[in-house]
Amino acid sequence: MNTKNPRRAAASLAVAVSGLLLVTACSPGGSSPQASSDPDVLVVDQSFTAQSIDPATIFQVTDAIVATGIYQTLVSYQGDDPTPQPLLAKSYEVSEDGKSVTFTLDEAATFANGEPVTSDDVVFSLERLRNLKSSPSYLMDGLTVTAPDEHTVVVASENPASYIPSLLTSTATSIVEADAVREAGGSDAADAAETDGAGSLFTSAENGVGSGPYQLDSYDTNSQITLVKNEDWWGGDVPYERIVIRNVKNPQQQKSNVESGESQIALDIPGRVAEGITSETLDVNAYPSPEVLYLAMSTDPSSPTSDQKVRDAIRLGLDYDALVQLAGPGTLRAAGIIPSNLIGSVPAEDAIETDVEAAKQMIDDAGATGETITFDYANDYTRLAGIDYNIIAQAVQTQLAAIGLTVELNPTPTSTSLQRYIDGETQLALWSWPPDYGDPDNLLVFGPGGLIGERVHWTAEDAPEIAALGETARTALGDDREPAYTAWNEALIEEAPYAYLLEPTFTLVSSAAVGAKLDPMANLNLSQIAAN
Amino acid sequence: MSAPSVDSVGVSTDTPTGAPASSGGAGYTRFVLRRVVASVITLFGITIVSFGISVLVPVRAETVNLSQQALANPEVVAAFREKFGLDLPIWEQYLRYLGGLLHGDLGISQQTGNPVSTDLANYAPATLELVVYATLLSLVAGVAFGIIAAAMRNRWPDHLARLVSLIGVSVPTYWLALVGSTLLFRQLGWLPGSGRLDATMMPPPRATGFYTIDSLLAGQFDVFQSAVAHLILPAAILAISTLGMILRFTRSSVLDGLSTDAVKAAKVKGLPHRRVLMRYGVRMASSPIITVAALSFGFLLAATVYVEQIFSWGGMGQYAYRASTNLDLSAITGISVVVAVIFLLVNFLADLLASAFDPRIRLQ
Amino acid sequence: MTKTDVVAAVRQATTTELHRRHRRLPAWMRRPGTIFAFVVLAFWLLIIALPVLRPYDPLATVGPALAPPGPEFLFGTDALGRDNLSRTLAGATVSIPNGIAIVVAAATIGTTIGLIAGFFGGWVDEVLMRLADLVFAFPSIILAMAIAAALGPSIQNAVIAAAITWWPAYARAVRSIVLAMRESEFVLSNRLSGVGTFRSIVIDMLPAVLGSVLVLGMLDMGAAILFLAGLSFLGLGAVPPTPEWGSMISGAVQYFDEWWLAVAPGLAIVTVVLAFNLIGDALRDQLEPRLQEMTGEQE
Repeated sequence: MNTKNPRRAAASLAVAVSGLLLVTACSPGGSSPQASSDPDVLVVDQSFTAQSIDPATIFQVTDAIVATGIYQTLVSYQGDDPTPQPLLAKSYEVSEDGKSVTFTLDEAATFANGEPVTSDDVVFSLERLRNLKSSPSYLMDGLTVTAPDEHTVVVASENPASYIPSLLTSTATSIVEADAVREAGGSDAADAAETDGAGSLFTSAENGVGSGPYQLDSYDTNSQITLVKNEDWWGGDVPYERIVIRNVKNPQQQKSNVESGESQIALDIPGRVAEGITSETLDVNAYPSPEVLYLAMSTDPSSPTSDQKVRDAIRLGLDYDALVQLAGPGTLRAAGIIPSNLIGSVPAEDAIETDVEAAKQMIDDAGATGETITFDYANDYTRLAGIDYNIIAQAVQTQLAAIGLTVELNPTPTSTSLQRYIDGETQLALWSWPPDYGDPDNLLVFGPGGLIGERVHWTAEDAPEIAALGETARTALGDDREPAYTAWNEALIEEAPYAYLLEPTFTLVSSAAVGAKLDPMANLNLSQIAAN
Repeated sequence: MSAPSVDSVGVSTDTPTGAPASSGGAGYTRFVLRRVVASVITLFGITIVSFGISVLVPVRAETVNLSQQALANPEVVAAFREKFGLDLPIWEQYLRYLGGLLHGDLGISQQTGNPVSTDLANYAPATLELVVYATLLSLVAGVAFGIIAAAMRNRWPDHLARLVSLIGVSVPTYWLALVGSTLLFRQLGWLPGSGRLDATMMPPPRATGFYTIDSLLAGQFDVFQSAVAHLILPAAILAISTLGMILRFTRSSVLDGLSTDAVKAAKVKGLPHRRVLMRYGVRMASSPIITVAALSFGFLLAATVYVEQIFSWGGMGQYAYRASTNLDLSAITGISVVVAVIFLLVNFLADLLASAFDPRIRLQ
Repeated sequence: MTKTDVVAAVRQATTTELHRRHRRLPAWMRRPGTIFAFVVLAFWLLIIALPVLRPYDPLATVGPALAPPGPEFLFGTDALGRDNLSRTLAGATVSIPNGIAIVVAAATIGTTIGLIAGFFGGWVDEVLMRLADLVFAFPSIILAMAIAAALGPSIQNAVIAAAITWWPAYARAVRSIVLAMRESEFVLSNRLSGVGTFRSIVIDMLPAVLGSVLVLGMLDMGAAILFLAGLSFLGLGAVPPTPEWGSMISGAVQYFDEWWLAVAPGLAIVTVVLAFNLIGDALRDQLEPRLQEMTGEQE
């Protein structure tokens, strides 16, 4: 058998084909990075954390962004206004005792499948959120939803709950078309966690159950999500035929894409990198984020941080200015756990001042010089404005070494780090708390005995007065809220086992023609992006 | 075949459980049967190892998939665990899994909520497209230069080829990807930087999952162009990492072929040098080359984990990385099983092919 | 090829190392590639042995953050103001010895298993080889990532994870040699004259095996260092602030305009791995004909 010719022929063919491919690929037009901007298509680059687009299960950032395009909530943040504005509800009224809010629905509102938005849909959506027992279900804790008539909904709570309007801006409270979901096997009954079968409806293309300006076209959690125009949107004209949200992990890549015009919005470019953008056609804007990066120090006796003096010394000895510098331009100093754009926050000027000598002395007095502390952090967490936790952690390590404490770093993937934190096994841990809605109420978890407090073994018995302050703040009404939250915040600053490092800013790079902005919660709302 | 030769990844290419002798049907049947049984045992072992890992790993599945507030609510946690069968003892979970496996059900991925088989069907073609083209590129270049190096033994083309191939295997793939991407995308703008297609383009109607093939089948030439442009950089980078291995292998196999008595006889007979090279050298080399091609394919499947991350490729590599760091047990097991199946299949086919080219390979 | 070349090649192939008397270094050591490799390795060994050669303390902030290469900092500084060159040099202390550790561990495990499997044959062989196949077929990255995730990130755990994924190659190679040699004349004659199992393994097989394992090991050294760097790149190996080439490249991914952060460790890896590969290559060229001799295979 003569194997020479077939092999040679195959080889030549392969070479020829490769050559052909190379030539076609490098030819101008259609494939070069500069040439792909279709004005009817909006391309958004984001570092994905997509998981599920069923509104009653949404809690990841990517999903929340997509939801702003295809669904709508009763109220939302619009423009720069930090108070919830009418959306599906054309008006709302808080009762005198603060225990209930009455929403009047906009009668013109319809879903993409043509059905009008009625109170049945609202009740269904919110009850399903509660009963599906998924990640965002806790939002409905303690709340009841009733529908006095077809266009009115009342959300009530046993205790005064001033946070209700803010809570209802969260995309997990998006309203879906109840009949279609029921038909697809959906349920809002108490046993919905077992009986609901509508999951696949939400990922099917143009399912019609949302009332937003766009509909879902494709949903791939690893590479991209596409939306198409809702032709009969009740809210007016829809600026884009398609929106493509792409998963681009590397911020440098996002920068290159937006500079070349391949994408129009880049969400994860850190401020430091965005500073280098000089193009006239791009807008670079920084938005304060409503969250604080903090250190959690365990009060468990097994940890050197259980000693109050050690914790105070750590707070005193950290070089906050250096950390703010490392986190990039626009980063602010955090004085307490409540970020500067929510009520109850303490101004950055009043934050603790570094005093390394005093800190060193305190450590010495406590007999803790030379003690080793394990510092847990997530080494693959890129969500927080592109801040590299590795860098922050190493800086903290060096700073604490200067006051006499030996810090051993324990970087692990986010899952492992979080598990250790939840199980209360960490001595020193670096985390932030992404807010669910724009109200300090969701930060009460930091109180003694609260969700976060428990992770550092800080119980209600340890600090009953602070627990009481927390209760007061939670149930305060109107003008009493701000002083109540401020008091609680200040008490935490004094006594809580946390060190407050910084408030990051999120940078949004957008093509000037599109002019996108972030809302007061530093989120991108797709329905508010106007046409170019 | 010559004495046990070890190539740069250290696998003996003439493992005695090689392809069947050319003694006809019976040999092949026995071989196939033997291979299938061995493969099944291997796959079984893989599932055990994957499950074993879950016992060792200190993260609970719900931690990664639920919000922190939800984790504080025991009802929500219980609902989650029940949904994924996590409340059962591990051996029962394993048996359920095996049962599902027999029906082609790979379980539900905790991170996507989809059946793992659906996820893999979505992501596998992207990875396969990349790895197939990378292997082809590597093969074409590696074999061609390997033959040249063997023909010009100890002269400068040989030394150059060996140097280049050595450098190729000495460079970390992810570093090369970063450097290549910076140079060719950011600085020169010649090639696109991420994804499989232009963002504004819709993927072609799905026939094989390979964008290059599907777009041609649908007659969408612009999509084809875009797909190829996006393939070049990652495929080339992957190809470089196995180029060296293939080149050296070809070279040594051709040289082995050339050092036989038969060659000496041929030369004595007066056959022209060129024909000696092709007929004896290259022909002898064909079967080990096929084997090493299969090996490179396997190697590249692993290397794609890095490259896919850097190029946002949307294939199994990214899926695997996410699954591993999020400890998505079903996905990890599913990926391992599928990759192992591909790997075993490719090697099996390679062995069959190799025996077709070289009837002297024996079965033991 | 000229006639003299053919004659030389034939002569080289038929003369064994053991019988050659020479006052010069063996041929494989005299090749330009190998000489270069030795120089490179000597350089790195020196760097590891003499920390004083590093211009600055690799863990200390010595300058402005992200400074480009200049007279003061030859390879610039990183995000925390540490000297990039010093960190790269210090990285050798982590990457090279641990890379060697991986290969030694994998080779030891693999050789032992290969010897046992090849020598005893039968079901022992089957079971061990299926185990090797299993580990070999399991995507090494996933296995390594999972092991590292389970054990926690540290260089030691990365070495363990790597060794566990690496041994099959050695086991297979050793087994092949043992199988081929088992039937060779001098082993059979030894067994016939009453040499015991264990002694047979040690005396007859080991020398041939060692040669092959040495070549394989040397060639693998580079790959082991790359693998270790890869694990660190994914965040599962060296713990900061320990400088390690892979984690340095990983940290450099987001600082793309500051190209020196990725280039320095990358170049370091390339030179070390290249050196090992060159030596392994030359060794293999030298020893292969000898192996042919010892296993008694005819061509």
